[in-house]
Amino acid sequence: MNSQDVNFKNMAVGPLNSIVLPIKPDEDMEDEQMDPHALDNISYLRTVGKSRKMTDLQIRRKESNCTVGEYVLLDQEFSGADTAAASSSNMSSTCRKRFSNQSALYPSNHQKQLEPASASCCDRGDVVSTVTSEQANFSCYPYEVNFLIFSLLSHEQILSCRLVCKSWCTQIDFFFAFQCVLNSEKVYRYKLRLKKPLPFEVSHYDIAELTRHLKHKHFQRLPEPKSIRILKKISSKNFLKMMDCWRNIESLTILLEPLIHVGLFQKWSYYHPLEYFPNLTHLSLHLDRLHLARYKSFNPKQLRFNLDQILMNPYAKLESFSFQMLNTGRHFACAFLAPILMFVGRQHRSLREVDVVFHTGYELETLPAFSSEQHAPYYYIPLDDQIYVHGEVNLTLLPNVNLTHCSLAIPAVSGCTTQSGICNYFSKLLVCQKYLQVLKLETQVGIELGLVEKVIRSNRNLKEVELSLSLSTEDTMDMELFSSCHLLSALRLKRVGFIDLPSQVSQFVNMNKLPKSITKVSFERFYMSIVDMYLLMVDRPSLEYLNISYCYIQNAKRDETVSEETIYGILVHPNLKFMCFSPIRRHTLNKVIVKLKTSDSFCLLLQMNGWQWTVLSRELWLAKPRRLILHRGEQYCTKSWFAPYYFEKVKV
Amino acid sequence: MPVVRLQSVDGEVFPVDVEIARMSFAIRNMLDDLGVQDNDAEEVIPLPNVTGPILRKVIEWCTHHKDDPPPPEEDDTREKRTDDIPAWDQEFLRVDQAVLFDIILAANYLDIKGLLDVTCKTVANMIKGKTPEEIRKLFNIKNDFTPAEEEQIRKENEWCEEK
Repeated sequence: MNSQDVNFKNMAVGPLNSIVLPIKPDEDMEDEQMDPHALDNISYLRTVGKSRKMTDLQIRRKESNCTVGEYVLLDQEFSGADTAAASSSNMSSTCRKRFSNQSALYPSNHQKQLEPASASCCDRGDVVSTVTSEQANFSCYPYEVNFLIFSLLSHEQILSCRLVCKSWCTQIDFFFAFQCVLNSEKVYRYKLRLKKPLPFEVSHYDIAELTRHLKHKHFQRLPEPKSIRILKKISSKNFLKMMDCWRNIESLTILLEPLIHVGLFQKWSYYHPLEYFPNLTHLSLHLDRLHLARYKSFNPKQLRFNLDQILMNPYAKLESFSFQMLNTGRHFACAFLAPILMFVGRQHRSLREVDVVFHTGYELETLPAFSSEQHAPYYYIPLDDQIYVHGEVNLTLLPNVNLTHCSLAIPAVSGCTTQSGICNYFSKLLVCQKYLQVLKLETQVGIELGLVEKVIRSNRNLKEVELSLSLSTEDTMDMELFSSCHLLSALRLKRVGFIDLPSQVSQFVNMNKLPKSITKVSFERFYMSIVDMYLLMVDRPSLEYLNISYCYIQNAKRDETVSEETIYGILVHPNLKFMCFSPIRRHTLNKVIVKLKTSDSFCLLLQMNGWQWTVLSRELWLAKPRRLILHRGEQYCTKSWFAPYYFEKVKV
Repeated sequence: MPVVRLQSVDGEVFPVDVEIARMSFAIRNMLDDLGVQDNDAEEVIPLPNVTGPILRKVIEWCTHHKDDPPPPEEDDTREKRTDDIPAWDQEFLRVDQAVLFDIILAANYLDIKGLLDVTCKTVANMIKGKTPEEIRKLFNIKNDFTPAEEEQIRKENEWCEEK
């Protein structure tokens, strides 16, 4: 094979692990210049090797198992001196051929150095260069030397060097050009080339960080990510350019308040909606009304317009939708309920997970800082008229939605009861579900028990249930309801309302009917007996988390069929890793102390009032527990179930 | 101590200890590939890209650093320093710019990593803190950008600046 047959510039060069480079046998090269075409190829391969971050590249003679004249380009030392190899046993002649050939590999300007030149003396007077100072510059160097020098410079200095001359600029751009930090969950620091897209994938961009480094016109030079998060201000130009460049993203998270001045989907038409982000599977929207005050000349209509634009866009593959609004107040939240419910309905073909949280939080209207007229726009949004004007027509698609995950935190709207208003709209979504695995419902007025029973009985595959229930003191909670949910692993029931007078009747019935697979249980604000606790813990070795907070726990009665010792003995549960209950009594505490003494992984959270603290804290302290949390206060709020797992230190 | 004889492009021959000559990976590979034994001391290795004075400088550097530990593996993630040039090397490289460039070429040609590193750091130090115009003047480089091209590069630099 003749070297002229090969032109590597026209080849799609793959990973350079082994390329056979045909070169004429040495004996033919005695008095012959190396074919310039072959030299061109070698130079190109050297360049490609560097561009592919091959730290080591060398053309070596093949081992003895190859024919004479074949050379292998290996991932080894990139050394110009080794681009030809000797094959003859005559060392001197081979070396001479080798190095004389090698000299041809340097650029023509390098050849000039080897010609006799006017000598210049160095400072020490004993060394004479082949080139003058005027001739010496970077263009004489092989690429790898220039790369080595440039790589020693800082980012700013490299930018400055781009302005020196075309040759430098080209080399810098080719080798590494610009380092750009793209922040995300993981910080990506990589080399960004100017002229070509990056040769690797990026999974996630944080637009706030991205726009610090790049203008929108350069987005197209970045590889398309799978996930974008917009948490800070972005201009409409950047946003539109982003949509044009990265139409195929799979996850989009938007913080709405920084975008109040941005017309997000300006091309959007109500009658002919464009399908932005056709491959989007996860959409997450966030808004904190308290933060709106940061933005001057806030126009609530623009905010609502942006939300409508996002929600009116059809997402063919959307599987998961999350909407979180903080500090909504009662009035403000109403304006956003209708578009969200209608969006859920429209996306019924693909949508499987819905997580909608309205956290009432601060009533901004009542805060002194926001009560003046100048802040009126921050909290005034007209009530959503779409539901009220068009009735329930726009919600007719809700029954078509099939969800696996449904998490709803519904605001406490004035006049809202379990039978009317907002809860009623959400109930339309809930009653038709059959494939739920996770169900979380939270309202300040509580979910009606009848609705809960209907939903639970229709969904046998439930794994996680979290409910705030509207129960009076006389109502009972029959745990038989969950007996058919064989996959249930976590159950949290929170009774909405106050505990009135101590009741002698436990609100739980058939506690032993809870599935045996359950690992996490939390009951809040219930009346229950110690026997219920016993029935809950016995024969459930998988139970790891037990939270009985703000419950009125009755003592065992004398006439119980199970002895008192047995009942309290169950508190030393073998696999329990976290227990929280209050108020606590001495005889229950004694058993728990045994557990505290014997287990390294067990964590106890106690909520105690004044006298309990006085009596019990000394005994607890003497038990020298490894993990103990004592909470002394009026209220303990567990926002997350699993937060107590993160407590590591003993707090007394 | 066995020696090899290195011949510069202008015919000057330098007998050098094999261990010192093997600091050049180019020479080391050649000796290994061709199975040259230590007792083949009479062989002459021609180095047609290196002049006698430069080869003498290279040998001087190698002789001084012959007992140095092998250079550590490169770590791309670590910021490279240029202010750690040993005092002897600084004095050794206090030469005319053209000579320095020839030493760099020779170090690259002979593949002497330590010498290449220290010479490149010296050049990098010469560049640091200088404006493009000062760099051009230092290295006698002609500005071949048109005003429009230069303005374009400046714009490109703007969006690449780490703010």
